[in-house]
Amino acid sequence: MTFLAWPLAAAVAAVAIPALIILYLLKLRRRDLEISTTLLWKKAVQDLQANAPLQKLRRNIMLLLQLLVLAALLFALAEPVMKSGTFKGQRHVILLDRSASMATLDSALNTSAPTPRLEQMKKEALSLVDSLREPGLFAKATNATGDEAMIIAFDNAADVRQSFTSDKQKLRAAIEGITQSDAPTSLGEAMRLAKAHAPKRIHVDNDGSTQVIEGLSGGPEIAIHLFSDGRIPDADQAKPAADDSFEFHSIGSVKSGNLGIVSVRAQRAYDDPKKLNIFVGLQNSDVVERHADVELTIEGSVAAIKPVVLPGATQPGASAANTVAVTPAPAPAAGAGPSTPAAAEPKPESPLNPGVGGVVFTVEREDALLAEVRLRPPVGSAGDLDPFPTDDRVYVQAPPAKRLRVGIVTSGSLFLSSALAGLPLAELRTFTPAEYKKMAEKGESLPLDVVILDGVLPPLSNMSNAAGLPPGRFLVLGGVPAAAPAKEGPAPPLTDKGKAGNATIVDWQRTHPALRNVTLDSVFIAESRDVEVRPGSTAVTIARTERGPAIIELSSGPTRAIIVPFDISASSWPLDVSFVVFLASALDYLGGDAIAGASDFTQMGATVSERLPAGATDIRLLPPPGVEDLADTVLTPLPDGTVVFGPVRRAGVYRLTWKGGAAPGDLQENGRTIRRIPANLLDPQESVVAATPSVELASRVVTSKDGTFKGDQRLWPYLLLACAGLLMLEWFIYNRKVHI
Amino acid sequence: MLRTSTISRPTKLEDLLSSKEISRLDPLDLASRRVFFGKLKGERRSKKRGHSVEFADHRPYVSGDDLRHIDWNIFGRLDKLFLKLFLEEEDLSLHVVLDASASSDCGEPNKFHFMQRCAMALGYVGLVNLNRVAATVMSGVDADAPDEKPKSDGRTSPTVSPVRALRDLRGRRRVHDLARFLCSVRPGGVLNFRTAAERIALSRRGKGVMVIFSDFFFKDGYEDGLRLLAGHGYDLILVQVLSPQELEPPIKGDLRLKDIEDSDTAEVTISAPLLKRYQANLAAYCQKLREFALRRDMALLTVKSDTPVDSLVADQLRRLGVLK
Repeated sequence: MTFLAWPLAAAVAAVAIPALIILYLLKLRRRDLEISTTLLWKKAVQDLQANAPLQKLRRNIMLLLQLLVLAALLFALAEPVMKSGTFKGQRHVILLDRSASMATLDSALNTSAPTPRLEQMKKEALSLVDSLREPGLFAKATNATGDEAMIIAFDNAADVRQSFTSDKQKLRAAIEGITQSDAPTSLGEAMRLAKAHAPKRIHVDNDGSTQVIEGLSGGPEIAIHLFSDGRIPDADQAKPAADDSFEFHSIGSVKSGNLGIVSVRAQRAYDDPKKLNIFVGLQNSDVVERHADVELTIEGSVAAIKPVVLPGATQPGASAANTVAVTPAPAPAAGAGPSTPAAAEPKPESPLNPGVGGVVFTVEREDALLAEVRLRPPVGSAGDLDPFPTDDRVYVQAPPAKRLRVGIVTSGSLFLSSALAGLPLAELRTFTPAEYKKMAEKGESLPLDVVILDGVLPPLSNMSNAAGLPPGRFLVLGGVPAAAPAKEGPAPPLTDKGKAGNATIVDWQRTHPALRNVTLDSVFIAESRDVEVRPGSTAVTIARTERGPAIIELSSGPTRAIIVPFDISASSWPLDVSFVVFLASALDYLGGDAIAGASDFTQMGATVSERLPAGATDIRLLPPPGVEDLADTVLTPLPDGTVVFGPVRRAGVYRLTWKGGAAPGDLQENGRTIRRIPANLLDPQESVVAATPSVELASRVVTSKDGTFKGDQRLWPYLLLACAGLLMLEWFIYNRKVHI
Repeated sequence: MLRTSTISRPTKLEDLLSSKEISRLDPLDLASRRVFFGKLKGERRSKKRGHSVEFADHRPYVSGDDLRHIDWNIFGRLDKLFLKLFLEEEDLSLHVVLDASASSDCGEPNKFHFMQRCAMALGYVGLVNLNRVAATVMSGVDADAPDEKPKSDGRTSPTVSPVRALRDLRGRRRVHDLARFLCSVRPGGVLNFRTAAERIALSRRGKGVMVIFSDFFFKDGYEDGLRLLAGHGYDLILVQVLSPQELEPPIKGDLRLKDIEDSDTAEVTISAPLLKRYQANLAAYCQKLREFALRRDMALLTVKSDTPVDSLVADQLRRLGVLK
């Protein structure tokens, strides 16, 4: 038992107890009354004093009772609390998992209505907050501090919803304000945030100098509470400090099985672009074989339904049975539905290998389309398919059946022509530098989506921008566009300073669409160029050698270009497979406007970047229908016409609307252009929704503890009750006049 | 017990006895448990043979006897001379003593006023029946009176006479004298009962019935005083007068009780056990007085001051043998 305000109680006791005793020692003021004789009264008093049992005690019983009342009051004033011993430490970091799997509808133990794990988690977190020790009623007077807590909500990203505070109202509001996300789970950022907010441990050397030791926290020890279903892929990288306690509170049922879509892709056949193939990958984390119907809906109309049978999850090592079921599947057995837990008891400690399968839909559609793939219970079975509906429905945007028209200006490049010949292009036209110069001087614009300039630069004209390129999409190889020297205004974005000798590419943006799936480590450049990119300009280096920029992206108004300054024929790059991949990706990227919706969908937690046609205004992002916790957002485009939003946390079809021109694939409605951006979970690990009773951290394995949180028991209300009881007893005794 | 809030002192006979009460007293006469010789002829039969109309006995004639008392009828039948003896009728001496200390001047109704009325009633009965009546008031003296001299035994004795007496009243016409005497008394001060009793005993004249009205709350004790009075041949009748408040004290709270006579104080917090103990003590005190009286052939009557006087006199004193 501890006292929150014992100094205050001691101070009051030092005054009140002597005061009470002094008051009691003062002579009682009695009323004078004349009587005929005091003979009998004196004798009665003497008799009563002599005969009263425990007369000394009885004489002082009122003082005794008043001292007891005072003691109870002082005790209550000291705010005693009975320590529950549930937690250690005074600072608590509460990590709340809001990832997609927390939307699983586990049946609550006491109610038949299924409850989302997020709500159950909030309930338990609130009870934890309630059990935190409060600073006490006289905290300001006594400088007493209660337990402090910090609220961090995380999915694959984390944000601090409430920094350290002992204000339970704020903590409760922060917990209640957490909304469901459809993003996957990652604990790393949440742990980094928790560490960042913890006070740093300061080490004092012998010479008096101090240093802050990163990674180690100082001050009172910290208790980290993780509320999650335990499905955290990177939990084994979390490393709490050795002094800090780590409590895992498992939310959800370990027996929950789930059937979900874990991958989807819409792809047109190379040979026949009209034929659209939609590949759907499925996963069954239930321990029994599951039957389901996969429904394909295109633009709101059901296009196809295919039944599928997915094998149950198996123990590791028994993968032979975990075969892919190829559609069409045999008709499901009548009544097949969600498995019953009694069918097979999984071992919660050993993760099961989920059963996987897939479905392929083939449709004949030329135009761009939005397809919805949905898992349904088999025809004839009732109830829900599984407790986790988020991964039962995915959306995919299919590109239109259109290919790029590419022109190449070259004096003859075997590597280039060979690489382009293998790409599925609608048209590939080759120009000589002389033809290109003549057409450019005439002001003719080529009806091409992308122009590849191989060692050739366009002549400067009135249409040229600050970088020296006319409007259009260009892939410039072996040259640096040079703008006309200007007496006023900013310097050109690129400046070629000549040859720079041999070099290798040491760094590149792996996430850039043009460099995706490309490895440039082995590329050797015999003669690199020394190019200076002006900071703050529209040019961005996306790959660099040890001597300077190797690949540059230039976006300026209607002009977009990817510039490779060095001569590729004087490098080993054309001989590397990455050159062909780069060429295809760069053409796709540069011609992206021409084939809108080239990206199939956006995954949860990713940032969406969409390039809008020039002149787009009043750009708004509408959240997916049915998602009430997101509101309409007004977006401001970047100078190159790109709008960026995200990270995307809810699955569904976002709608980007603006006033202005439309790209192929965009819809027109009420004078506004609409582009649909599907966002899906598609995370195999997140689709396994069975909760785990323990999490394996880098330094220890933490098992979830059962039971409710018991806070410190405050004793002052009981003391006040005792005080009231003593007062009543005193009043009773006074009225009974048992003392003389 | 408590000082009487408003006292209306009697000034004349009618204030002491109403005509209705007087009419109830008229048939009564004094009696005594013992037979005393009177001094004057009265209406009371005496042991002595006398000249009343009431036959007592016969005795043989001896020479010198009055021939008028010879019973000639017997002489005619027996031929012997016998004298016819008659009972002698004598008066009876009634001595009424009142305690006029300050403690008597308490209670509702006032105890002293009750004593005055009782004394007047008894005196009236005695006077109308041709008895000798004496009234003595044992007055208290102021406790702070400076004229007190220490006696040989260490006790103080006031120099002021503690008794006032009106003696030798006889006949109905002296009723008003007795009433005036009683009405003139103002109670107060501290009474030394032994000294007062000593004075009464020393100044006695003959024997008779003595009725003492008092509450007998004497801190020095009542035993010595009563012993002195009993030793001088009185037929002592003790009437202990208590107020209703002394029997059932109507007080509560934290009090400093102050003795009305000697200003002695007792600090008490009135409680149920204390009240119970007080009443037990009062009962024991009264019982002790009763036993003391019985051992010395005294009669004791304890009455409340709200008892009707005619009821007391006509009923309770008759049962006690004081009246007939």
